[in-house]
Amino acid sequence: MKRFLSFIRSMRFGMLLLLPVLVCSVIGSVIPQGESETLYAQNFPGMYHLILALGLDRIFSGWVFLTLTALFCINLALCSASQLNAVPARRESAVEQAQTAPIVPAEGYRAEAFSAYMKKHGWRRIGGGERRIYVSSGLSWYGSVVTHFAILGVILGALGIFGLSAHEDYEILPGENTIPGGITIRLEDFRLSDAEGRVDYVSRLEVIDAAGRSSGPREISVNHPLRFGANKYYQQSYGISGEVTVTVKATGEERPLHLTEQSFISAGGTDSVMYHDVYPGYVEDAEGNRQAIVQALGEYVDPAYYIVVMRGGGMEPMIVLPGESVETEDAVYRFEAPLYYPGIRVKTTPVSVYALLYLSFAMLTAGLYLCFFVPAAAVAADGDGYAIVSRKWAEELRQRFDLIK
Amino acid sequence: MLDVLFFGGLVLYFVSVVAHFLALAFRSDKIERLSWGVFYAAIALNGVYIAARGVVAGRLPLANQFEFATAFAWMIGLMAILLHIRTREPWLGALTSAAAFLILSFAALQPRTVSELMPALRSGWFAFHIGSAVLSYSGFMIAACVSLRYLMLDGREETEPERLERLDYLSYRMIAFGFLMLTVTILTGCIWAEQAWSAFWTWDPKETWALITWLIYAAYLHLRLNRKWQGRRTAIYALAGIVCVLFTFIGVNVLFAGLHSYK
Repeated sequence: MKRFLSFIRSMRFGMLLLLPVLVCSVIGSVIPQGESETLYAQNFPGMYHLILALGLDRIFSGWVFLTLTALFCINLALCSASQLNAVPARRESAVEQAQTAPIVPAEGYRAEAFSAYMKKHGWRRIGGGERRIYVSSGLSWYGSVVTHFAILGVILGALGIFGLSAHEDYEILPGENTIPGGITIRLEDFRLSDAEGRVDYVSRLEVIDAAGRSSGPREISVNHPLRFGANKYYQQSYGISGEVTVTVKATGEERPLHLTEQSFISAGGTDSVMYHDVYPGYVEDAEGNRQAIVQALGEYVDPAYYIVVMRGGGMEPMIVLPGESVETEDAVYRFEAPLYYPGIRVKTTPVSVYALLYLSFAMLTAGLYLCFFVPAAAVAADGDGYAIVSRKWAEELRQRFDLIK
Repeated sequence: MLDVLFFGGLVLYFVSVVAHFLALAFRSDKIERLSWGVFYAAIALNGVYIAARGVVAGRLPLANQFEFATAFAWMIGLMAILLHIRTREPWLGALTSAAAFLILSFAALQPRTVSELMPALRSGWFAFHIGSAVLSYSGFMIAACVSLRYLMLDGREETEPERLERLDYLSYRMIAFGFLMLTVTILTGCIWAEQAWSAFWTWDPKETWALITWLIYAAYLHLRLNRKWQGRRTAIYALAGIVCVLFTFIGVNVLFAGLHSYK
């Protein structure tokens, strides 16, 4: 059991785990993840059955990768704990070795200048006497431990996101939109440019939670989500909605419609209009026949509606422009300027997961800095020269000490 | 005007590479001094170009492959100067100037149009994320050059062991620096991605390969510090590592589509 535990917490085991993690990562980057079966059938005709059967299309959420991650967490936790225990002993051992380490005479060495340097750079002097022992700051010895715990924190945070975070995307139209959880999003305005006229996606909205608390009017855009209550609201995408006002001839009733997908519109009689899409532009020939421009970059300059009118038992495809109307036996369909609307992502993640991740990020950076840029060493010095006791820093410190004038 | 600065720098890098190799071939101090002079001039021109492009674009010029590669070449040059001052090791000038020249040549193959930043890139994290990536890649590249020099000297009878030790140690220090910077790149990228795309990590190919690179160098540091890997083995490892870095930088953009495909 002892040998097994020792293996589980060993660097060798950690390295062994890294290999399959690397292989999974390479596979996951070569095979697109989370796509439809059709895409794999098209792109990997000879092996898509295998890809789907082995779960290579979702490799990072598959049991193999999660098991590797769990084992890696155990390895890191045990390794970090044993390192944490070992640090004071390692430091003491370095100091002990420094007491007896042979002093190497250095060229141009001056004991007073050396002492002043060590004092200036925060080395702690231990004891007195002819042979002076210096030890570097306490923190420097903990770099590796901090780093390992931080990596563990990052992985646990990532697993927390995987298990506890959820999001949903909503198409938000002008006015009030109710989403699950009793939350109302009131969209005041959506623009495709920022205050300076650059392309951006900006929604001005207000969120009201189930208890009636309001976020107040706020602007969200890419890189500037809104945090309100337990949720975060992201400017995720945008769409274009066909705006049609239907007037029922028999009653005179007017009904405005926002059409975000193919829709069949009828006033109840036999005639109707099939709305297909709004296109960015159109061309018109000499006879007045219009043809839609299907693709264009940026904002729609000359939007055109593609519809099929069904009246008198016949079907007539048409390109209709904003401001124009189409009449059937029972209704008038007036087409207005189309409207841009935002796609808002609502994400819920426990605050504790955020806290763990951000803390781990900070610890990881600090840990690596301590590991590689703050020497962990004990140094002995006398009137002739010095001796360095350090696992990682001997060469670097020798070079630094050689520069002391 | 911008193009003149850019291609002027590229030509000077090339001249510097040729001069460095001539200096080595003829063992001439005079040519070596000249080659370093030309290298300094190339780095200066490269720097002026980056600054001028930044002024024209009205932003930090690190928004696409071309701009990144230009900054990458410049940073290799700057680090090479520090290395030269510290070690005075022959061949390192030739190797680092060749690396800078090749990276800038890659930049020359990319579109050079100055374009507005896309909304996702307009963030305070932009400078930290890309800036640390430039520092990280350059650190790894310098480590690879030093390792190559190590392998050239290793096994020769006339090479003093101290010299090899110094090169080996230098390569390790550059990798440690690159590793810290790569960590900063990945972490700032996570924080930024959460703000822009709502997810810290999406297993986008660039992210995945950055992680692969990180794991490879993490293994290097563990093997060196805990398994006492040194010398020839770590030098070969450092060269393998730079292949991974270059694949992350160039290969991923060429072969895979993803959120980081800023052409």
